Amino acid sequence: MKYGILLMILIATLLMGKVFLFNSKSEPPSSQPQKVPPVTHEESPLSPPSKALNPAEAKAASVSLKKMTMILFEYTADEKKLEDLIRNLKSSGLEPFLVQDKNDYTGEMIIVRTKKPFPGTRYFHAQYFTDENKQTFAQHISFEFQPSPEAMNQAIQAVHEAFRNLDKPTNETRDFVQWNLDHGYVVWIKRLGPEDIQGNPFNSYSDDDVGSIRIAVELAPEGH
Amino acid sequence: MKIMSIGLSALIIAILLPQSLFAGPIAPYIWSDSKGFLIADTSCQTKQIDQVPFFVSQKPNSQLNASSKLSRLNFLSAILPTNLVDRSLITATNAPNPADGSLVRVISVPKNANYLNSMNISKAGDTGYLAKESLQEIDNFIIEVIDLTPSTSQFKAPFHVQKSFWQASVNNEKFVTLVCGNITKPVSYVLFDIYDSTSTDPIAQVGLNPYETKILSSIYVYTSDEANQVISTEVPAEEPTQKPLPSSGTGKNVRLAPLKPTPPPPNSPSKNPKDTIDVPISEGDLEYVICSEEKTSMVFGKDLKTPIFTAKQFESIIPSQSWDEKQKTTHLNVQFPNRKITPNTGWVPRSLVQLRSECAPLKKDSSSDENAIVNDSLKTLDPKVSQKDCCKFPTKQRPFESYTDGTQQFRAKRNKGKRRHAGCDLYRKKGEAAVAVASGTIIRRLYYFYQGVFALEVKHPKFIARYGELLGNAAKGVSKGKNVVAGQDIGYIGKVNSGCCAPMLHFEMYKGTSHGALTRYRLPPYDRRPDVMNPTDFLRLWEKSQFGKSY
Repeated sequence: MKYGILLMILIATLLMGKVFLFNSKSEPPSSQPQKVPPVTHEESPLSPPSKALNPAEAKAASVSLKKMTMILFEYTADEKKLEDLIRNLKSSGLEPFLVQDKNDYTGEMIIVRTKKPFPGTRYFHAQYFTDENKQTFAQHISFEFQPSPEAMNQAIQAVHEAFRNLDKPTNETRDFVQWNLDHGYVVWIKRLGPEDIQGNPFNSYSDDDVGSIRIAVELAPEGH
Repeated sequence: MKIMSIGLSALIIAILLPQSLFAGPIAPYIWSDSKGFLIADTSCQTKQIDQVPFFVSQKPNSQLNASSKLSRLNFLSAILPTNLVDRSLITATNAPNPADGSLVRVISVPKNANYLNSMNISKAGDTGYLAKESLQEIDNFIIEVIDLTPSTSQFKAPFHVQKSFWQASVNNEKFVTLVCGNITKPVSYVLFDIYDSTSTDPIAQVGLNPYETKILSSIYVYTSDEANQVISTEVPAEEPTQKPLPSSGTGKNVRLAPLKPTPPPPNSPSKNPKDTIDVPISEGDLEYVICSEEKTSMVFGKDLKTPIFTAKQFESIIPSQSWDEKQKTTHLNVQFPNRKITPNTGWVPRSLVQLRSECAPLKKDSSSDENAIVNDSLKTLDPKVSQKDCCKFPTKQRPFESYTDGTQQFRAKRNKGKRRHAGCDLYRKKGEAAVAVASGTIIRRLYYFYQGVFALEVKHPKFIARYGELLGNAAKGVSKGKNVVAGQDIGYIGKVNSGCCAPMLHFEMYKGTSHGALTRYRLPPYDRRPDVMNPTDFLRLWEKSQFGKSY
C-alpha cells in the first residue's frame, strides 16, 4: 500500500515534469545526440595568412607531397627495411645520409636525413632504433610541407590517399589531426605555429615558416 | 547492484578466459576480407581446441596431382562430381551427410597442383561432400601465399604477405584459436604462425575465420618436407644446407623447422647499413658545429658579402634547408640556437658546417675525459637507489597532480588498453627545467619522441633514465657524452603538439639489464625494453625527501 502511494507520487511527478518541460520555452529534450560541428582546417583568422604559391610551384609541391607521404606509408611497413628506404631516397635523387648514434647502454639509433628535398617539401627525418636482436625498426619518419592556405587540407588528402581505410581521427583540431594505424604506429599532421618552430634541435626556422605542415608517422611511445 | 553485477561479470570473464592473448611477444592480427589485417583487440582471448574447421584435401598415400571426388549439392552435379585436386584448402562442417562424407567448401585450390589436363575441376567457393578419408588436418601442411588479389592487395599489411609461409599454430597438441567479440556473439579465428623464408621465429600471427579467407586465394600448399626444399632454394647458395625435416603427417607437433635459425656464413655481409648502403654514414649524433681552426668565423647576410656577426669556433649550428633544390653552392644558411639575440641566423661557408663528430679541429681540441662516456659497467639497481638521499626529484617543484594514479601513473592504459604507460607523467609548466635525478652521463641527446616533443637518455650509476616530452632546446652543457650532476638542468618541459595534454615531464627508468633501444616495436604490454621499471616508489621517496611530502 505504502509502495503504491509512493509509486503514484513518482508517476505524477514525472508527468508534471514532462508537461512543464513542454510548456516551457526551452527546447524539448532530444534523444538525438547533439551534432558536433565538423572541425575546419582552414587557417586561423587570428594568424597571418600564408602566401599562396604560384600555379607551377603549387603543382610541383602537390606532387612532392604525395611522393613523400607515400614514403611514410611504405617505409613504416614491417617488411620494409632501412636499406629499402635509403635506396628509395637515393634513387629519387634526395641524397640521403645517415648518422649512427650508438652507446653501450641503449644501443643504436640511426637518423636518416636528405641533403636535397622534393620541391615544396623539406626536413625529411627518420629515426630507426635497433633492438637487442639487432632488428631495426622505424620509430619516427617525418617531413615538412610548404605553407599555403590550402596546405593543411592538401596534406590531409595526401594522407588519406596513401593510408587507405583510415578510421576516424583519434585527435582532430584546426591545426592537428592524428589517426591510429593498425600496426602500432600513428600518423599525424600538424600545422606549425609560432611555438612549434622554436628550438627544434634538427631544423632551422624563420618567422616565414609559421604555417608549415609537418607530417609524421611514429610509434606512439607515450600515446596519451 | 549494477556495479556488483559488472564486477561479477568481470570475475566470471577472468575465470573463463584463463590465457591472456597478449602474453607473447607478437601481437596477433585477424584477417577481415573487407578491412584487411586488424590488430586483435583486448577482447580476444586464446583458446586451445582439438579440431578446427580448416583442412587440406588429400587422398591417403596419394601423390601430388591426384584428386578426390567432390559430390556437389545440386542434382546434376551429384551425378557428375567434380575433381577436387589434392592439397586444396577447404573448410568442413559437421553437418549430417548422406554419403559418409563431410560437407566442405573449397577455399583455395593450390597453384602447385598440376591439374591443367584434368576435367571438371573444383574451384574456390564450390561446396559438396568429400570422403572423410580425404580430409587431412591443416597443421600437417604449410601454406605459401604466392600472390595477392586486387581486393586483398589494397590493404596495408603488417608483414610482407607475398612469399610468406602460414602454418596453423599448435600448442600442447591442440590448435590455438582466438575468440573475439562479446560473450553473446563470439567469433572464432584459427591462429596461424607466419614465417618468411629467413625467419627463425614467426614474424606474425594471424587469425583466420573460415568465412573470410580471401588472403589465401593464391597459394601453394606444401608438406613440411616440401617446404624445406622450397626454402632451401630461396636462401643464397653459400649458406649452410638446412637440416632435413621430419616427414609430414606425424601429428600436431610438426613445426616449420626449415624456418629455424640459419647461422650466417662466416663472411656474410653484416646488417650494419655501412656495409650494405652506399651513402655517407657518420658516427655520433646529428649536431652541427662551426668547424674551423680559427677562434672566430664571420657570418654573412643574404648577399654573402655583408658580415653580420662573428661565430665562435665550434659553436653549435642548425643548417637550414630551403623548399626547393636550389641552394647556394658556396654558403649555407644556418641558425645559432644558443644565441638568444637576433639575428641568430646567417650564411657561412659550407666548408665550415660539419657534424660535431666529424670536426677534426674539435677532436684535437677536446679533452678526452670531458667528452668520454664514463665506461663503467652499469650495475643493476641496488638498495641505495631506495635511500632518500640517493637522488633528486626530476622537476624543480612538486607536480601539479599525482603521478601515482589516473592516466599519469605507470601501467595506466593507453590506446584503449592495448598498451600500458611505461613511465610517470609529472605535470608542470611548459618551459620549466627538468633536472637530472642523479649524477650520470648523457648517452643520447634530444631526439623526436612523440607528437613534436623530444627525449634524452641518461646513464645514472645504478639505472638508465629517459626524460621524455621535453622541448627541443638543449640545456646548457647537455650533449652526448657530457657528465651531469644531480639537480642539474637537463632539459625543459614541453607540451605535445596535439594539444591533448598539459605540459609534463614523462619519466622512465630502466634497470640496465637488457640491451638495445628503450622503445620496442610491439612488445606488450609497454612496447619497451624488458627491464623497464616502475618509477613510482622512487619518485615518491625523492619527492618526500625534497619537498617534505609526496603523492
